[in-house]
Amino acid sequence: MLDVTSWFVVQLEDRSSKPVRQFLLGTSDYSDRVLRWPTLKRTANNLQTVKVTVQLDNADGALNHFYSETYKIVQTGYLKAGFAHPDSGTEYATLYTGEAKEVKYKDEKCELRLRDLLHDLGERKVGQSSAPVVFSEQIPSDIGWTLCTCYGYLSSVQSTSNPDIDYADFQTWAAQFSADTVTIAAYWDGQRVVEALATLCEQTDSAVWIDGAGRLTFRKFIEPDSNDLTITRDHFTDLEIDVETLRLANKAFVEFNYSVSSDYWQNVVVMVDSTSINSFGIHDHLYRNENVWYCGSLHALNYAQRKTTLFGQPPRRVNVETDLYAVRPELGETIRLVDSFFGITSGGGWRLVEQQFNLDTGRVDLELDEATTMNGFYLDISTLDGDHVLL
Amino acid sequence: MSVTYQLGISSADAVTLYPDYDYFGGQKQIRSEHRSRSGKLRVYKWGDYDRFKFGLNWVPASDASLVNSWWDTNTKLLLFITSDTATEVHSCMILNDETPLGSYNEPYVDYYKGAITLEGY
Repeated sequence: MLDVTSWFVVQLEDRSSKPVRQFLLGTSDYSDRVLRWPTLKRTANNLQTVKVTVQLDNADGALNHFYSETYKIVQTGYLKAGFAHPDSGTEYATLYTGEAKEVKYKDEKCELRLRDLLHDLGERKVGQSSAPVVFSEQIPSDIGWTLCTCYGYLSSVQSTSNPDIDYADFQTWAAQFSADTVTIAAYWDGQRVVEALATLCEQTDSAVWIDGAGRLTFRKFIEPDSNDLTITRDHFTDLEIDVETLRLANKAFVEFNYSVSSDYWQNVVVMVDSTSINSFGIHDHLYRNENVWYCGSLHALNYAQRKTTLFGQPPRRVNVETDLYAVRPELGETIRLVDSFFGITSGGGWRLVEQQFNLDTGRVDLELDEATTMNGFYLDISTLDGDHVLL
Repeated sequence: MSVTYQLGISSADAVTLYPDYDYFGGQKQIRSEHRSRSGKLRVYKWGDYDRFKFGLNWVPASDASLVNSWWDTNTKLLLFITSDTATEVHSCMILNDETPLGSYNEPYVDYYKGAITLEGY
């Protein structure tokens, strides 16, 4: 959840609030020049830089300095939303932090285009053909840290003051692997850091994204919390539910122990969900990767088990159109949804996998995915060989 | 109680205007509205700005020429509204789509009529 005061939360829940927006470039406040506020879109399952375009008024030519002195483009931009407190001043929540990368002038408008930290990680490589980077049997979070700090040149400060990585979330992420003693091996010979991180997270069922403060955030899905936001028909303006049998996986193969020199996976495990097969027929899925792989059958089998547990039944995906009320949750967190028509109760949590915030209108669109919720932390909390369903 | 309307770059060069009875003076809100599925309404007010709109008749040619030139050059203006001894000052610009005072007041050719739209900046 966004870190804001209880007064701020009350304003978010108010039906007639007066939100304020701020656009800073460096320390200069350009809010009064914004003609069109951007839409911020973050996706947990798709590691891509969040690009933002801010349209500014340049009728008086006051922004021509970006054109005449191009070095002035290179500044950090911040998009904030908040409320003006009658006594203590305006409280802002930073929703986006990114570097200005492009400036475009058209008519009497100036468009500033910003990109977040992932853009930089897309320009930096891990290893090369002649000197590949090899990790043998390590906890995934250690590999992630090395990728970010050694190859991505991000800050290696191991405290919450790390400006590039949300260290508190990173520690939580690492602790879950540590508790399960999950180890993997990896090999990269020139891939971009962002590709390497995407693969690592895909193979460990984690989410990674850039938070509002511009820090890289890792999250392995954890259980629903009693403090989750609850969205009812009083809050959403529209709701769509997709049920996809296309994503079914009831016979999951996981290949592991990849041999780089021979280019093949030396072992394979399979997990079968017979109940699902009886209902929907066989849906084979082969999970393997030549850059990140499990080293032992136990970990590979649990990964396969996780897949059949999550995708054994057609997972439901919900798109909810709502407003500022739902701006606080962050990706990977759970939201409780209530809709009497569809019989959805607040008893279960729905994982937030995509969040889109229109700063122009205050509309917040959420995509909630059941497949990442239902027993989604089976491996994270339970013992590796246990069969506890902890949802 | 009389109310005086003056428009100019400053009080020194302001021209006095006599709005018709269709005068509108107030503010417009920048807001968005969301109606939930259960019928609850949420309204976000992001800001507001001044707006004045009124018709004019019998404007002397010299004043009409000034007003039209301010419109033509997109000049930042001040609208002074004086009621007895109190004066409100509004920063505004003329936002007409076409020349504000472009028609004669028949049968004269040295008096103009038209309408003016002013919005805050």
